[in-house]
Amino acid sequence: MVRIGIDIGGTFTDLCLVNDEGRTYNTKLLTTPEDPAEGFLEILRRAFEADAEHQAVAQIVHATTVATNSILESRTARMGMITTAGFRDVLEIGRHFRRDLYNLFLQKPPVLVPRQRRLEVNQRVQYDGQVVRPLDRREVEAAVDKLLADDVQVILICYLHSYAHPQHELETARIICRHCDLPVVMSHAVCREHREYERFSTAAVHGAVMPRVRGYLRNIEEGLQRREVAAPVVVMQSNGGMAPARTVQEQPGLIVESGPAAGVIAAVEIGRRLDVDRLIPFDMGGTTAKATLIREGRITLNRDFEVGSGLQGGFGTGYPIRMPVVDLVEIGTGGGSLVSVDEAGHLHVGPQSAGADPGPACYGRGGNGATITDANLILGRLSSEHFAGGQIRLLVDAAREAIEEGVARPLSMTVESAAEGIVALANAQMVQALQLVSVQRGLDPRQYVMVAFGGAGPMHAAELARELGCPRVIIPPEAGVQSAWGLLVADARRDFGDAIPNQPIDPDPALLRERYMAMAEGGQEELRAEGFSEQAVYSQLSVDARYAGQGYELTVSLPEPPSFDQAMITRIAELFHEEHLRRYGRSDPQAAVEWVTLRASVIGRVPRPQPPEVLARREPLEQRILKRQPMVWSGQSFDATVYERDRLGHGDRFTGPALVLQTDASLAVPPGVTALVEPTGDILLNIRDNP
Amino acid sequence: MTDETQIRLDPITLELVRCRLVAGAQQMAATLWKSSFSTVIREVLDYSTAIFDAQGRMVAQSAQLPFQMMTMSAPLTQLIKGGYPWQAGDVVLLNDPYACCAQHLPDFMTFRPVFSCGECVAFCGAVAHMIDTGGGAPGSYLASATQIFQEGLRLPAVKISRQGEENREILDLIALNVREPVKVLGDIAAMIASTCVGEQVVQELIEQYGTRRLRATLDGILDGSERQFRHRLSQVPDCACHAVDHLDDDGISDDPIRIELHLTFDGDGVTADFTGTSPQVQGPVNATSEMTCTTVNYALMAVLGRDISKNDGCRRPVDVIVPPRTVLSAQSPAPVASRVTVCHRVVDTMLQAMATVVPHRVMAGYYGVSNICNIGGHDPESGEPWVHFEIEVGGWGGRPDSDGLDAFSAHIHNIANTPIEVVESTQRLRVERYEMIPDSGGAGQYRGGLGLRRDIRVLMGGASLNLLGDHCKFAPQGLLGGTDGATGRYVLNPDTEHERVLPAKLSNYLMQNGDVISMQTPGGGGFGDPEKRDPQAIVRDREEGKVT
Repeated sequence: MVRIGIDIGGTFTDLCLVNDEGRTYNTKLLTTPEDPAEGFLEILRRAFEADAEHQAVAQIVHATTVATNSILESRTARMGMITTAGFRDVLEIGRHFRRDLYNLFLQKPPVLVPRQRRLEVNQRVQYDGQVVRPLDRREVEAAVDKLLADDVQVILICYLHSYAHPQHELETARIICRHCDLPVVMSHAVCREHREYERFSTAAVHGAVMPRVRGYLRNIEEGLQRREVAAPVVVMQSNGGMAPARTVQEQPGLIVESGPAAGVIAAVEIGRRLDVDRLIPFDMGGTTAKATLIREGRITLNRDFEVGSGLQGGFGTGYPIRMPVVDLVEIGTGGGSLVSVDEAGHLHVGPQSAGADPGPACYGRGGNGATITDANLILGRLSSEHFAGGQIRLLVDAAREAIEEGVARPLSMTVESAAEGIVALANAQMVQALQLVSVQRGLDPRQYVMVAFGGAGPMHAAELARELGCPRVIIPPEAGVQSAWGLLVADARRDFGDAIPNQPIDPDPALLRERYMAMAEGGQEELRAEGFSEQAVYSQLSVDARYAGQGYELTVSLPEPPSFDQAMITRIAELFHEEHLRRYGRSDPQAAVEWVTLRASVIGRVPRPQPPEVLARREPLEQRILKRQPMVWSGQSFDATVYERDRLGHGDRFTGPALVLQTDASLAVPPGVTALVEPTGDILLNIRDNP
Repeated sequence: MTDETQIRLDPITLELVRCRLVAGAQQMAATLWKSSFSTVIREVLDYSTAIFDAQGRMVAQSAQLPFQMMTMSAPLTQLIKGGYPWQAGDVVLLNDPYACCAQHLPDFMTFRPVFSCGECVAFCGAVAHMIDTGGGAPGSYLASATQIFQEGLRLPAVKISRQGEENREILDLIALNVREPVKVLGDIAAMIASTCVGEQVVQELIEQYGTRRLRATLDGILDGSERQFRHRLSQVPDCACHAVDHLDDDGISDDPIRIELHLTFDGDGVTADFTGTSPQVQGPVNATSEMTCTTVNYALMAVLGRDISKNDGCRRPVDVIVPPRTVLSAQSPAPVASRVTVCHRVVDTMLQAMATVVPHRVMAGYYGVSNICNIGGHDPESGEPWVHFEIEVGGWGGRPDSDGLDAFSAHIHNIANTPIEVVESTQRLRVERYEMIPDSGGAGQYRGGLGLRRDIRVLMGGASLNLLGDHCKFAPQGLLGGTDGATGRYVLNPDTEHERVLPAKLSNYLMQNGDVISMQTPGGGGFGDPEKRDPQAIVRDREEGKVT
């Protein structure tokens, strides 16, 4: 039996196949943006061709950008909304806060449901679930008729305080069902939390991407049937866990951060095989760099995510969707980031990018703006003949000219020092992103190991780790198909939340047990129905708590196993004080801790493939040197050794300055840093001992 | 010449340090936000953080409100010049506009010095709006105040932390003078925590670059922004422009308040002269000259220097002239709680004046008022006082290339609304309506944005209502042929037989159980000739019911 991971990204569609012996087969194909399903089926065909034994497929795990792209390209559903009388503009007014303070030409992202299709019905519920005005069913019926006449594809039901009283939304859904078979999204069903705009927006995002995601999954299913592949398709969600296609069809917003989540899951697994459970995954590609944090072997999740907010990100920049999303910090610094000098003589790197076409000046495809890649080439951190597996020959002269014109001359510097300045500034921006995920969350990066991947990640990793104080860096062999491989090591996961507003400060332990068990048992049953064994399924329970009177919560894990007694409640308070101190530099052990939302994550463990060991090479390392080339570090020029990744074996050890080339990335080892090849094929850089 | 100037500054280090400081200020802001208590900070987002050099000049900020941009350097500089006895581990708190050059009393400011080897190298500061600072009205916006003494607790610079030790007596004094002491003290603690985070960032920079080099770099950052701003100013043709606009009144008399501006661009500098502006008024809509300067600076940066790194270097090319004792240069004991009202109008005059030189860079008149509505009372069971703080926005002015945004924060104003579900679960209030007002935007090639309506019902008797609005008589102005936006209104029990339009500046009106206050905010003015409006936009507006 084989399992197959397929990751469709903006540029490439990657496939990773693994058999029962743990052997993998990888391949890549250009993405087919018009119909991504076509690329999915094509790459699968190639994999079957390559797999001579024609083993049966047990499962296909998939990561896709189809949901995100649906939002980014404004190819969203024609939706109608039924909401509480007096509040149809909540979705459009939002929180009316802006990030870009001085921009008089600001535009808001277009509202997902236009005003004429947001209809009001008479009903009203209080914060405690008490009904103030009953639901007017006739108004609901009239609203449904009107929306049907207006040709909507999806109907959203969004009432105030539905988290405390879902009955009106449920009743409305029943009425709609009697009239038509259109898909319905109820706000309480996708987000059981207070703050109406954020909850309504969550419903709107799910609805907006629904037709595209459903259509796409249907195309894949039909394609598989035509090819007589019976394997079930499961999809990576934004929370780093898999869900069956059926679940995704109901809540398609769950997969908006599908691809990035898969990359992070891969990093968790790399840490596991090297026995490291505190990691900082760092991914740098052509246009952006992303970083996150893995703490005690667990991914970090964020609940304040906004879709389509671009790089600036943050509150008020996109469409909020309240669900756990892998907590990535993304910045506009990538290999193709353009460099410029403004009228005051300030150097800027990014966020504009030269992209793949025309690309950096050194690609020789007509781009003449200086980029980070051009700077790296001048500093010898790339090989001009071995870029992208030798497909592109990099032009050093073009890079020099671009940096001379754009940076060195305006700042009266040499080309080399300008190039070093560009890399230093790019690194500073990335260190900031890395500090955002570590120091700013009260965690000390000196206790973490960096995992670097992406085309440009390994080139910058050693210097970033040094700035940040990370002792070691891991460069995994899968760097090129990181996400597709990550799909094969991801567990199934469901997240549940249950708001308990206005509880007394010390909640009733019996009530807690009941509420938690209801969530956990529901999730376990779902996973068992999907074929997970009793032993493979487990739950992680946590609570979002705050100081009484605060507006934002911190998540605290329940002790294992939870005792559901007064002692546990006291322990949670202690853990909360500790976390508050770590994150915000202060705590108040005398103050009351309020329980706000109970959370359960139910996980179905998937067995991990055991990759075959990378053997030591008989041939001495010196004989496997590809060539030597000049490299610049801290203003000094070195004669650096260049190796090929494919020809390195277990136990190989060398010290920088050195360059390791692989088809899709290049690893720069600074002077004094030692590299060691592990039996897993990972390269470990030792940073701390070599200041 | 200090020896700092002899250090050679390379542009790379400068940019590296600038990035780190901006990130540090943002980190301070995140700390303040997430650990704060009152809805004013955690939902409305009325707070900012910044890092200053040893002379108190702001080098990097994380401003949520442009209005708070640069407001902290004046009080800090004054303290430093006066020889304030700073010691490591101190945190200083202040709020008085007259004694300390601060803003209005609800804006508490905290400063922490950063020492290295016994030498003060930098300061970290936070400013945050307190839900209440005492005085004659819940929320401390008393529309009938005629002296600052009625507006709440006035604090000169006091050490709330002395060499790391909390000064309990001062905190007790504050607690006794405000209506919501738990929230206020919690928010002060959050401010202190945020300055702590800032100090760490500066200490790391000291470790990396050394004190001398860091100081020189901070100078270089300020010079860089100044140079960049001067370059922008030199691209504006030399000229003198003029604008006049009005506030409705001061809430005490019915007289309109005149704001007159003569704006002169000359080479790489600019002068804003407010000669001709009304004298200071009795009601609390006065601004001090410091507040006026901040506002002038905002308008120039928005129109000419959006992408320039904001710091005190940006102030250097700007000269602001205000004759003494006008509504823009009030002197003690004039009340200033709602100084933002008059500052909104300063933005209007600045944009109108610049429209004559750079019409492609400005927008038409916007809602131009903070629509402050505070409701407060005493809990019938516990007897504890409570305050609910509402600030609302309205329509943007039409712009040279697009319609004004509907119901969105504009200019010096940048606040988030409090979610209805949060309002109702924390106070005995019910929001009955939250919607945009059709037809409230002025017509134009690009129409003004819509104002909005928020109706709130009180569910208990004896609540007192305080309003500080404007633009209820003078509408937001259209530009280049666009028509004016709709004026605002405050209505008691709308759409009933007891409906009554309230004055926009109202103090301690006693609401009955079940009464509804309806805030209806102004729409923006239109931009350009309405005849030239794209027919498709007209159809879309009608379909959406934004224009009937």
